[in-house]
Amino acid sequence: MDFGFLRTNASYLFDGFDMTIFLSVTSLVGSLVGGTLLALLRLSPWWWLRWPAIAYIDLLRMVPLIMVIFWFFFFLPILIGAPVDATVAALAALIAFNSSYMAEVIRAGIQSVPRGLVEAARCSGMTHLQCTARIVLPIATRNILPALVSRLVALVMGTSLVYIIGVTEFFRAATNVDNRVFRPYEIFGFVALVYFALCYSLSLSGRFLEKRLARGEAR
Amino acid sequence: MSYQFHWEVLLAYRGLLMAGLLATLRLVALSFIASVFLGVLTAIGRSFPPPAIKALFACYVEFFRNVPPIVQFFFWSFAVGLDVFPAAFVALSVFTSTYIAEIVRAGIASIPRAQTEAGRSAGMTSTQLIVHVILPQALIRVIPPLAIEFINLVKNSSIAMTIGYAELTFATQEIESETFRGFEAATAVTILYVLLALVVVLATHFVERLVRLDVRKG
Repeated sequence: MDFGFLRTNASYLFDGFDMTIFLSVTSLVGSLVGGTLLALLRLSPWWWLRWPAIAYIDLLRMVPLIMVIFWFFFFLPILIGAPVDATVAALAALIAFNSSYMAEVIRAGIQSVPRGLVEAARCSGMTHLQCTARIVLPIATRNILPALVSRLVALVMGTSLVYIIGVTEFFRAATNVDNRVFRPYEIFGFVALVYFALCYSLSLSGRFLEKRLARGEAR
Repeated sequence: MSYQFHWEVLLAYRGLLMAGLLATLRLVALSFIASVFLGVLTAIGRSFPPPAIKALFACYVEFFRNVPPIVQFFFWSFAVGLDVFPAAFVALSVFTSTYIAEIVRAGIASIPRAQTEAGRSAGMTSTQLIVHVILPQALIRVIPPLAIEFINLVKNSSIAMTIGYAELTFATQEIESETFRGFEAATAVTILYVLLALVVVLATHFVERLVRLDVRKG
């Protein structure tokens, strides 16, 4: 066991970790916005809004994330006719992929809001949009927070896959270090521990939230 | 868009695509069997034994489900030094088993306490109780979530390409690098994944029906 590489490559690994956090946070925000939009389209009373949303959500949930990353990396440039940075392609793929999962979680949340509340809001003169923004979404958010956290863990783990298009996030940085110092046991063990610490603390905070919210419900 | 489509490359490379599909199926089938076995074992370990042993199984689950699968693939392949197929098989089986363990554990927890008590008063030992009363009912209840886990397993098997296992996604890259026809190849592979998922969904409905009928008949 020789962990000397940690000291000599600390800043390189830290930059990689930084990139992982950046990819996670940006794609979380992006997929929350995208997922909410998709969920609303999915629940729309008009079939010409509903069907494309269903097709998008179901298609992306059947395809591996690696395939989605390939799609964006190879075909975004063809589509827009200009070269695309690997990081941009990675972000676009992560957002497109995670939006479909978020959409299903958010849809379940929206459907968990009792119909009576919506009717009461509409009766008191709120428009459909007002009712969605002020009544449905806040209550739905509270109901799905635990499910959202477990999606977040999957999202963070998913960022490690952009390794394949050469984005230097934490995992790529670690394999690059391994190629130079060749200490696979120490390096992949260390990488596993770092990801574990990150994802497990997220899982734990999800469980904590679940308990807190359950207590609020009972009162 | 100035891209010229050449769908005929798919015909020229159909052998590669077929081989990739078969490699994916082989890996998925073997890993699924192993991960159900490991998962059920872990679920039992988390449900019945004394607290110290339960905690041990809990550690196993929490650790392996909170480390990204690609890291696990690399660990088994490059640190432990397993061959490509065994490394992919072990990584996938272990990762998937943690999810299956949680599903089966929930299934076990859903069996009413009265059944345990009834079994006990009929003089059954713990092993008899688990094998003949609790597990059969729990396993039937968890068929739908297990099917979702199977689809996740199919999707995660694509990560095996990163350690050089020539499965379906690997074929995409192969065709792309040899012909620059990545678009056509990716379309074909995407359709194959979608078909696989649809087959699993249909098969699950069928199996569930069959098993439930069997149970009702006694």
